[in-house]
Amino acid sequence: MTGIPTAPAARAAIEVEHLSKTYGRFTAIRDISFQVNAGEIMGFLGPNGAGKTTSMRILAGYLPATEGTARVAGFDVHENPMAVRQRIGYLPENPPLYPDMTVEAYLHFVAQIKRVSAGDRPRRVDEVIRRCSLEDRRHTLIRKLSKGYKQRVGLAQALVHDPPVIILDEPTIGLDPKQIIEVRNLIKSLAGEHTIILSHPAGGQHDLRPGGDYQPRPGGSCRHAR
Amino acid sequence: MVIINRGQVAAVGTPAELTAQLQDRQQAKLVVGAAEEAAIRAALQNLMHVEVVSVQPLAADPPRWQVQLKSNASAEGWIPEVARALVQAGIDLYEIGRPQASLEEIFLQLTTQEEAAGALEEAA
Repeated sequence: MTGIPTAPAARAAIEVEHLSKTYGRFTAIRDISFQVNAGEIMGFLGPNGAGKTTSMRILAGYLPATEGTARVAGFDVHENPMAVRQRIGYLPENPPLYPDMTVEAYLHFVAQIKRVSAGDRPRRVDEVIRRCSLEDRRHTLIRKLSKGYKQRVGLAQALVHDPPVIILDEPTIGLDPKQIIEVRNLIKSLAGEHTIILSHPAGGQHDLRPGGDYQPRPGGSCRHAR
Repeated sequence: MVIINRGQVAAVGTPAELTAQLQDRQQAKLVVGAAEEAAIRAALQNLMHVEVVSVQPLAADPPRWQVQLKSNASAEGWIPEVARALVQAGIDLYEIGRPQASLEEIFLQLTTQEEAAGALEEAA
């Protein structure tokens, strides 16, 4: 059995340096650099095709970069992909759900494959069900859930192993205004304990004003990107 | 926040930092009472850093106008200056608001600036 890598000396929770990704002659992202400190929420804003999802997929270890480095909690996503995956919760644009499982069974399954210990699983599943307001759908088949509830289950699977870093790709896309508010409030409640990256299409319904969706945590900012 | 466009970072910062980058476009929207549009424009014409973008009639009786202003001032002192100038000219002030830049406006301005700069570089 291989040992779990220990985290390198404390750095920013997420560090991206000169990241590029090309597909043949098409450049999806070019020389992107930024840092996010622990406990901060960082929003990625851009139109469709700008490179948001590509950047997030590289950070989540789903896609290799062509050039540059990305580190999560000090671990290089290319060199230590398992160590990175243990420390991130990833919600892709289309949540990876099994429609014929109940919410509770699915979350137990995800907790198991994310190596939450058998003794901790019931507590962790209960915690994310409560946090994502899924109590009244605990025993419902996922295929019978509304889009908003499915999104909450997607968030719950990203959180079930209590990762320090959460990556959410357009988490409010396709939701109605009430559901958008609920998901936003949930994300805000996670800040501080978790470092969060989330993306939005340009012109999305998000509040950029002071006190809005991206109010920095005390002492926090995202000014290190370039 | 990171604003990304065509695979490249266009801007980075907190919401306050990003909106500060748009200080040359500080805006205000007012509703005032005056008999004529010319009186409103005359009251505001001598203010430093203030440009009247538009004056639109809202109602005829009593006469109400919606006035849109912009300023390149770095501080917000131009707002009380506008209020004082109107009151001193005998124009009643009913509403004054400072619309905050939306995500879309910030994105459009930053990316438009970037594209314009790129076009200039290519032309040079």
